[in-house]
Amino acid sequence: MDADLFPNLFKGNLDLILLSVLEGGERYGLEIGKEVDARTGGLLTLNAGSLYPALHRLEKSGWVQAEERSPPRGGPRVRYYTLTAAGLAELARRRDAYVRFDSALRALW
Amino acid sequence: MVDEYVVNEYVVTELPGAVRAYLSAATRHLPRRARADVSAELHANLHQRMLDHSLMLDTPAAWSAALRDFGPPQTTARALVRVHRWPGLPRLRLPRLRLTRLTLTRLTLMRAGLAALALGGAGYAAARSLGWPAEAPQSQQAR
Repeated sequence: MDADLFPNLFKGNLDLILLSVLEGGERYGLEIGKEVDARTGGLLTLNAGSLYPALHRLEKSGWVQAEERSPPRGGPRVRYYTLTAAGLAELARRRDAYVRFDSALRALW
Repeated sequence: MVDEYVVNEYVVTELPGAVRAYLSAATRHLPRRARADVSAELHANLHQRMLDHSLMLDTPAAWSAALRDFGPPQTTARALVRVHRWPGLPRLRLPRLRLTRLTLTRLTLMRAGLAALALGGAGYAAARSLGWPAEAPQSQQAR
């Protein structure tokens, strides 16, 4: 099973997914993708076409900030993304909205 | 293919042509500054993915596997353009048209017709602005 089965849910919650991962600390793009894959048991997968544009959008919104640094294994410097205070507040707001929506939906089942 | 250039002070000595093609295609439509930054980020992350695969594969195969993981560059390019060139623009889903020769002919005729109509309108407006009398309606001519 993968995100192709529920593309709208996936796209609609992409920001929530990324902000949730970054709540655990700074990560660069590939690390974020790996963590989403691992923690969801492969149910959610992020390819470059969804991951990097979304990170750039979050950065433009002021919810994350980026800093270039050399990764531990060497190679070109990567952009480490960190949650800002505004991003933390946005995460709380989105998480609350998601929980309330989920609760409302479940009341209909 | 052996190439050498510097990305973020890191000297790249061997970047496969497929990787350069991917980076070029993925960032093709971005403004110049954004293109350089995004290309550097994609390259750096591709490199890390290549290192993952290089535990099991030789370097060329590891690059290929990394590129497969990143998905089609055209998809990435479309999404990046929406963020960097047209932020805030809603995503448009246009239907894919299969244009037959007949459809193309019709479209060409329609375009020519619209162009003639526009030219006629412009000519009429110019004539009126120069004070030339417009042709009176038939009802007035009958009186």
